[in-house]
Amino acid sequence: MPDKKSSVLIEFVRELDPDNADDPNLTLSVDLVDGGFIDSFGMVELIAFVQQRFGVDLSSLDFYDGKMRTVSGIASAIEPHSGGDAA
Amino acid sequence: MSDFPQIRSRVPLPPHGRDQIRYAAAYIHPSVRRVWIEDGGWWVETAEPLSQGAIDEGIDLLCRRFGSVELPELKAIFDLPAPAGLKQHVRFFEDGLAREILPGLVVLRPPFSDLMRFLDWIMLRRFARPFNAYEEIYPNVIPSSELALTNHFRAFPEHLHFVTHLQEDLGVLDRFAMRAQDLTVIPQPGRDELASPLLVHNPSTCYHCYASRRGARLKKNEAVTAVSRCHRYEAANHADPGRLMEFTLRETIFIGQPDYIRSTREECLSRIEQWASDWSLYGELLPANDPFFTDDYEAKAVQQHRLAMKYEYRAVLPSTGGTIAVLSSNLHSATFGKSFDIRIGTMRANSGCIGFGLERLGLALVEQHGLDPDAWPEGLRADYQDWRQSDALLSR
Repeated sequence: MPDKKSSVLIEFVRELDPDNADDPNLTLSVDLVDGGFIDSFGMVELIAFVQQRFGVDLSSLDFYDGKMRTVSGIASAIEPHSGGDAA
Repeated sequence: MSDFPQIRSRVPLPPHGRDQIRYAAAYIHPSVRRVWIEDGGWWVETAEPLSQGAIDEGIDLLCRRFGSVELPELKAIFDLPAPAGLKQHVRFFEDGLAREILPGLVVLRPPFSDLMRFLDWIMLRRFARPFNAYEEIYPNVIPSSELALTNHFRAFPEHLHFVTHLQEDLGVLDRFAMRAQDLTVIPQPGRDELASPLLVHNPSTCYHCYASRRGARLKKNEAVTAVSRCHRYEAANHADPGRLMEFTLRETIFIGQPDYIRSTREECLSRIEQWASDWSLYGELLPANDPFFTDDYEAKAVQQHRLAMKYEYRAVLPSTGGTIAVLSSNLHSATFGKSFDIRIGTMRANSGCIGFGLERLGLALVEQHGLDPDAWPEGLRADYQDWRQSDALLSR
């Protein structure tokens, strides 16, 4: 079962682009960039969303690391900085 | 001293993005001939007088767009420093290698035209054959409807050169031909005599590769190579021989699974280092970003750096004391797979490419090492001799 943060993130990515809405390939572990779910704009929007929703600044995250480009990876990067689930 | 009007802009120099602003300022007005920085300010030379306000307004817009974008510090992943005192061996125009028709449009002549065939051949051998690439042949124009899907219209509107024709109308054709009988004036078609421009000169070889695979379901990873004459309008920047309006771009393009795209990228970077070392082509392999023209420059450029999407080999040009990008290695992730609905398995295909600007490469080569193959570095000379034995024009 995805945790609450992951669910919020995946919902955000689904709403980011109509093509993502029903794509079965959009999973917790898929590389969002390689999979074509977010582009450079989407990345900026995702970082802004995480800042607004969870109060965590991901702008220095190493997105060249494939693990950091998955919903699971981003959720785990948020975890240590958030005092609890703000969602 | 120039006879043309020169104005100093009242807009202060911004902390960042000065090269990008200087380049983009050529598009402020058709009269702009040259833009430079001197005495701590912007200077603009124009063919006809322009008001101070018009120049300041244009420079100010560009400073707001590009002047605060702080890109990451560029760290070379490979460098081959030029020896101290490296002299320019050959001059592009003055020594007869090329004749300029218009700024940015040139006729290349031997021995430079011979060198172009050699460079294309060796790029096939070093950067296409090792990947089992097969060749495709592309038109030099591309439908606007296809180029629109690459996002090129939005990112680089300044480069576009549209192609059109006279209307299919016997009256229009007859009237135009009649006007053309007067050889003392250049016949100009009226706006209502031209068809809508549905074609654009292709600005980058690889676009046809993706467009021609629209809707494809790939069964395996693919490596494709192609060469074409590409076309970018760069206004007054064409005064620089490194910025031709029409140039030759040899590319190897990779389409398929993300792991394949990443591994071919790594191999390309490794091959670039080997090739530059073999030829003693002085320069640096650096992370880079595309010079996006519009107001989304910051978001796109920063992300290109963060995702290591672009590297350029910048070769030393002794004539300027600077460098010139002679190749780029690019990752596109699923951008084109998504735009053109290209899939491998159920996933959107990823893509990447390596592209060589052959005129720029030739320019850097002859400036650094001259035109006499006997005086070239050993690795370069060996490749040249291999090519020479098989070339139809020089093998006699």
